Amino acid sequence: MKSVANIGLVAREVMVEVDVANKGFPAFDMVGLPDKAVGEARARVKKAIENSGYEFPDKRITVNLAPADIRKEGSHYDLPIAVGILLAEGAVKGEVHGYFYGELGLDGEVRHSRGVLLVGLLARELNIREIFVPLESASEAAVVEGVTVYPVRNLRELVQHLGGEKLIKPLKRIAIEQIIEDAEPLVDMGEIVGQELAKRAVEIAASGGHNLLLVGPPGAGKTMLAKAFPSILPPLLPEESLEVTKIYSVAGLLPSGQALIRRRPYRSPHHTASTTSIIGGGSNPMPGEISLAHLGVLFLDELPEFPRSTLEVLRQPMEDGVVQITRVAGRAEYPASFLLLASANPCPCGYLNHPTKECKCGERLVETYRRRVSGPILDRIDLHVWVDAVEVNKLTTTVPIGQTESSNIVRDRVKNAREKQEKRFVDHKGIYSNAQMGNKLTRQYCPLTKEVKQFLMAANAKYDLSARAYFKVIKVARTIADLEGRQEIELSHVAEAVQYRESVW
Amino acid sequence: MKQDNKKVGRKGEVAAAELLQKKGYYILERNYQNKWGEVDIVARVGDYRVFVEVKTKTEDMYGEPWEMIDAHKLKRVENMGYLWCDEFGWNGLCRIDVIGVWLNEEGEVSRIEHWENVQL
Repeated sequence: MKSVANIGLVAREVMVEVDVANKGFPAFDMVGLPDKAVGEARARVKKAIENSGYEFPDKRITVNLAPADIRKEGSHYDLPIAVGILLAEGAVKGEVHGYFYGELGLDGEVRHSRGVLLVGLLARELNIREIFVPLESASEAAVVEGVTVYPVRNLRELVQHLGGEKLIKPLKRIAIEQIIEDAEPLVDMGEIVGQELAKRAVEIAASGGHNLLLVGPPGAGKTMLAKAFPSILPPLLPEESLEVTKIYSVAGLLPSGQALIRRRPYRSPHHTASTTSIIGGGSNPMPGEISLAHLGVLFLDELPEFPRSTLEVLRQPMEDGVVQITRVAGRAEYPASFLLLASANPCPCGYLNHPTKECKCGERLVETYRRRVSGPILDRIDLHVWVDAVEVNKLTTTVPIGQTESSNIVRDRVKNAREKQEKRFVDHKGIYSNAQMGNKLTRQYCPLTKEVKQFLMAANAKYDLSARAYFKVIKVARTIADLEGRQEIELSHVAEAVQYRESVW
Repeated sequence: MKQDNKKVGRKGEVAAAELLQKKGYYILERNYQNKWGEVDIVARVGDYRVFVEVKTKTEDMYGEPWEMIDAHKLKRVENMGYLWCDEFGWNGLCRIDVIGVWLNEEGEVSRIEHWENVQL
């Protein structure tokens, strides 16, 4: 009997051996490093078998989960253990193949279990033809090719299927491309009046996956821009979809019945969120907000309100695109290649540099406030944008709603730019956007003319760019060129990119 | 008092043995003893050798018979069972049953219960 263990995003095959001895006193022992939830399978399996109309043997039962040296966690071993016992007792006849995965209820019902997509992918990798998974979570595995997925409602149906009495209908495979995006975004770009500079920056950020910081007085529309952000994001590519869905499958956040996540994730944790919830953790490390935002957006509203310690942990994942979580019980590596979208007021009262209102903060106060966000974090943000206060009369008179560009128009441009990047990085696994390029790739794909180089030297002298910032400018310029449909990076592109480095903080 | 307890115990065991026979159990041994301990009844039913612990309670005793059994006691019966199997060369299924016997003031059996395959 085979099942699967998920350690982080890595799935491993687990052999579930069941021995029912015809001697000695009745017992139900389990070995092979089971954790509490696995150990409790004993009670669930016993009742599930009895309540499904089969006899639970009053015999000495020994269950071994091999390889015995990796920790088994979770409740999904119920199903293989139950089938193993019924097989040993002759209630299930013949040989069984494939993976069994699922939690049992006391009534024999097979319950939703986390990580079914990973089970499907492992089966494909190891040439396992069939998998038996809970009906509720079966759709997760529907996108996996070459594996027959049997959605199991309860133990009785499974036994009848294995005995050949009444077959379970396998799940129909769904092509990734056929799955449409779910959930409409909240705000349309067309609803935001003015703010052309900020909108342009948002468009560039979405096109190239660049980090973006919006600074401005209260009520200027920072949060609104951020909320409209998902509406211009391109859909996930099929490969990206799988990556994201894997994370959600492991975290158990995939709604039942949903096969795949097609819309880019958009996570906006509140600033009281704990460091562990942001980065991931727990004794059996689970993905945090940054991993849930993988290939999507992590929106930190009111950036300076986040504890400094929380912000600093973002530094390493922002560079590497992965996060290593280490605990005594185990290690896990989760991808965390996200677009950081942050917003902030310029000072505690919010009206510093405001055209009409006066700032009430003292210099010291502003200084303390600003220091809450460290240099290294700011250095990792490609686009720094000032969002001005909107003049109220402009809201009501000049531009009637509907005449500003709607999200769909912007999104088409973003999609175009992304397609260029998709082609560019087709040979580089795990890289989908300009922002993800390392320095080597930047050199390869962003050749600069002499003129542009000279300009950058001058800019460097003026802004005192760090090495990282220098490369970030080039990457942003690459995205701007992509947006305009140019092969070459031109002076105007670099000039615009440099402009977003101008300190607004 | 000690004598009394023994007498009460005997009475319960007799009642228990009768019940088992009535149920189709074949009594192999009463009060199997060796230097490590004893088992009240050893019986045979189906493929099983059944080691029976009888708990008898009189009117003036507190608690119920099942409260007199704990994991420690079951372990002792199990170990005795293995010794019995060794001695008689039995290499098959075994099980532990508990029989509770209630005695009234006159010392007659007022209630008797049989719990099969007791595990804690």
